[in-house]
Amino acid sequence: MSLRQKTYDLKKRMQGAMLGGGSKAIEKQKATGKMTARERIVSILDPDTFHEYDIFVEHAGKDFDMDKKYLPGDGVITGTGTINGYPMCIFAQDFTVAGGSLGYMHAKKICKIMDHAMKLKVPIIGINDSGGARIQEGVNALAGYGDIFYRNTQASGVIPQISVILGPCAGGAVYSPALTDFVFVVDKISKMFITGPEVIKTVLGEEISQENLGGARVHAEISGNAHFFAHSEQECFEQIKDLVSYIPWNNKKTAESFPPKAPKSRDYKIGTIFPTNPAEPYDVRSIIKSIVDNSEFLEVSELFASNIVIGYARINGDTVGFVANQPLNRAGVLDCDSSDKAARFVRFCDSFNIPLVTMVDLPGYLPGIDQEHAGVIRHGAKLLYAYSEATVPKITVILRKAYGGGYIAMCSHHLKADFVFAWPTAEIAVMGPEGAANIIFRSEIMNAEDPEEMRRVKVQEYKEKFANPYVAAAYGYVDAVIQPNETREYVTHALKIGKSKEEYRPEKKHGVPPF
Amino acid sequence: MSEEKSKNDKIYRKVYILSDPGLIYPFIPGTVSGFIVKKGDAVVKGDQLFILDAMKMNNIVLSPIDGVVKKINVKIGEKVSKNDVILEIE
Repeated sequence: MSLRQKTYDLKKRMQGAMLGGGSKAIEKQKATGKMTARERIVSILDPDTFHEYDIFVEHAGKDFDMDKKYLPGDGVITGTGTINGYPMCIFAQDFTVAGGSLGYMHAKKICKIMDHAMKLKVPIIGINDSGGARIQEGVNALAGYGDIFYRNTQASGVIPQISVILGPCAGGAVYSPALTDFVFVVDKISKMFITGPEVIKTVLGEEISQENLGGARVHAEISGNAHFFAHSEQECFEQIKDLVSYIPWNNKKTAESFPPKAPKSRDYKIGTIFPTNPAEPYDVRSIIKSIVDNSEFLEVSELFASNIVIGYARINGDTVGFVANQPLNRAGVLDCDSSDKAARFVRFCDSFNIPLVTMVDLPGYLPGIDQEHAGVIRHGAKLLYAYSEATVPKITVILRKAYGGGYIAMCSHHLKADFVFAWPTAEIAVMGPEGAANIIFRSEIMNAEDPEEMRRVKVQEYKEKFANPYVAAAYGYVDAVIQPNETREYVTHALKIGKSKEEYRPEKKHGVPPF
Repeated sequence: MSEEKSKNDKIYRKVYILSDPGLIYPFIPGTVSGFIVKKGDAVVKGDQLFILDAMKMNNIVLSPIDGVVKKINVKIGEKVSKNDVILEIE
């Protein structure tokens, strides 16, 4: 054969493989409102940057007449490309090929691209759209899952791992996304569960639809498994591109810098956002937007445990991770879910050299039987652990309430925050004035002629004496009491000063956080 | 599954029921200090319903669904606990 003929032969082979499950299966995929695996990859990556590998891999199934079947690429597409010029490894399961089921070679392909990502030290994106294990391949399919989970764990904290759920992701398959750093879901398309509605009905007699059991909304709002919720695949891809711009390629690098921009001070004025009445709620995201570049803030896990806000923004062009109590929701308390959510975020930022800015306004940990029995002690401890462990620059701004254990947990001076700033409106005390006055002045209140009046007087007395930032400042627990409109200036300066921060922890294999 | 067996099953297993999202419970015990809506008002998801004073805050409780306020069960100033339905939306 001449070179021309050989090239023609290659092209023909490629065409066969590129068709995936064939035009009928593709039509079916499109009818459910989903894109094909290859279309998805091309939409996420920069135009013309996708390079595919292992397109001629064939499956390894021998039993049940599988050896007579041809599964193009064994149901998964792997390769490399760029997003906004950043290098990426990527794989996408192809539902049109045997339902995207995971067989031995399918898993091998995924492992191979993950190994590449680890060696090249670039992020990996995995698009999940699979019916689960390929039953015909038996234990080899299970081995495949195990190999992937192991690699997910090895890569954790070394390269950012992003999972995109664009179809079913059931059974063992769910644990790979769960081990990665960010999970993206799309309304009505994503479905994640360990056991589906059928099994649940047979075993437990409970009836529930796929959507109510493990749809995108369930995971974005209730379970917290998903971090980003989108209404369409295209919106989801835009979110990925946005996120990637804020995080570094690996744990040895810092995120890319952008040209500094001023906040949109006309839209976000602290004076008008922040209420004068300390009991009045406000949206803490507006306060964040009032101090960050171009007032752009990318919120993570927006719908889950919204009493705490986490996300990325830039200050003076550099990425910063924000953790902030949200008085707008459940008074901004710390509870099981919000502690868990914030702790994981803090650990991600610490792994990937992203400085942390914490904004504090919380009445404390949420009391109650539900919370105690759900393990608020062990979940709450995660946040203390994560902040204490973190060695990236840590800057804390106390806006208003900082009471009790909540004060300590929200990156206080005692957990080795590098800088703690407080607004003059800050109230830093062991507990709220009402509770404290009732305990300290118990006998005075009980013995008074008018106990109610006495209580009121004592609460007021306590408020005036302790509900301010100056007691904490007197002990040096607050580095500076600042005017609210000086916040950006102070935080920018602290980040600049803290850029070369070096802090060491005792040598150990790893700690034992209260998982 | 035979009918008898499924009857027995009920003794041991609590069948999962999605709670009615139109019944508004307080997220934490507190005092209802004011209503923003009244009976018969049409609300959409995210509309402000009432103010619950708890955890040192005047928390504004938002509507989780679209609907009409069918019933208000408590008065202003009343203390409410976890299992009290404050208002019902249909």
